[in-house]
Amino acid sequence: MAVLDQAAGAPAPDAVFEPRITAFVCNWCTYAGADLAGTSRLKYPANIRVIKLTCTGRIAPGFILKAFQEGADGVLVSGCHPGDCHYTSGNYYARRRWTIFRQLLDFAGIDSRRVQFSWVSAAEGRKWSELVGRVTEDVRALGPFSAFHAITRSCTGSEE
Amino acid sequence: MIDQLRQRARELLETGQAAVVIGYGERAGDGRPVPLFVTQPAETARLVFTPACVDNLARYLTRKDVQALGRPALVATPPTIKAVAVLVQENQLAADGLVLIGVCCEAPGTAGTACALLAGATLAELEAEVAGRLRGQELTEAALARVAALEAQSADERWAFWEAEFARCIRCYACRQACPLCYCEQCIVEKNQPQWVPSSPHPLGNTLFHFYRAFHLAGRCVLCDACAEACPMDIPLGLLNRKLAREVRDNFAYEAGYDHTAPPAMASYRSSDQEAFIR
Repeated sequence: MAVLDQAAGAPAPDAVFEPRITAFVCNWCTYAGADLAGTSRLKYPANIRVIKLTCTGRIAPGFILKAFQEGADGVLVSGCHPGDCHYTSGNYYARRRWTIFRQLLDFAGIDSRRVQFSWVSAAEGRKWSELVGRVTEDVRALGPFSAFHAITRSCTGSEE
Repeated sequence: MIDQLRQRARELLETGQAAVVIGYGERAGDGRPVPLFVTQPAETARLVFTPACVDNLARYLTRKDVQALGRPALVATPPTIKAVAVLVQENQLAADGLVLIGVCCEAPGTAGTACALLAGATLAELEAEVAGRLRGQELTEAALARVAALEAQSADERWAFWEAEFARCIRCYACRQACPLCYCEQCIVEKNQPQWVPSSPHPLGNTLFHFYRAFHLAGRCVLCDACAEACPMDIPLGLLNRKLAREVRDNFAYEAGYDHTAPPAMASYRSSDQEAFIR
């Protein structure tokens, strides 16, 4: 947590809240799309930390929980469009998992806007940059994920 | 009815069709039903079956020490049969690797109601029998009333509700031990390289544990409520299970435990699965 705090910088008391967002993306589509956004010099908020995995099928729900545990205020999960998966069907399995997992989080009282899902292809650099912008604004509007961070602190005993 | 059950158990042991009958017996003293493992024909007289026999005995089928006893015959209530169907579906058991003695009470848990043996001997026949009795009766509006009431609240109210519930958890894992479908040799809560769930009964570990428990049973839970029965702190685990069971039914048109030949909901997909939430 301390490291993340450092990365975000110590905000001034009345500064705009800068959310920390973790993005789990697949290697073949969304990571390439994000790369395209970069090489195309498209701007998007620097609130996002991208973690690349082979496939959305590899993104276990535990990763999302772990991100919150480590101080994230929001999570974005993104991969290949249906039919485009490098491994044929990883994104279809992932879609089923997300369908149920987001319902579980919602039922537990976690706002659905904190965990967002998208399909971004290798050609969709613009979609990626706009998506990151929208997700950042959503999470900024929700504010810090104090509820989750409070239970995390209760366990580790660390002070923010 | 109990004579038929004992007779059937005796036959199975005498003919060698089963090496052990897993059923219910009475605890000395208070007569409370407890699991009973019978290996000798003469001992079958100790078997009982009453409306109080609600433990899901399918949980013993995946245990190595029980498997070491030999081919089992299982006294199986409708939820137990559903759990067996899921275990077969997930390749934890062979459908012909055990004998099922289907039993049923009119109102399980209510003393004095009539009990009977179920017609059918094979898993497929018993599945059909159980479907006739239970399918469509489990996720009714009445059964989901508490789920709906919680959904009607705000996200903050729901968080507060579960925070209070999870805070009571003492992490005894009785829910996991009682569940016939929590059969992983190493549970995620005991993994520590990396550690996914802090092991102390603190709010974070408790919350994560209950998220994992519920999610790992999504599309698999047979709604037997063995976990909730086992919970010494009365955490409403059935509420989480029913919420996810309803989501699986509504999104994937799937109900666990009625067809051991079907692909499991969370290990299969349709290209037409809805995805309105994906941007």
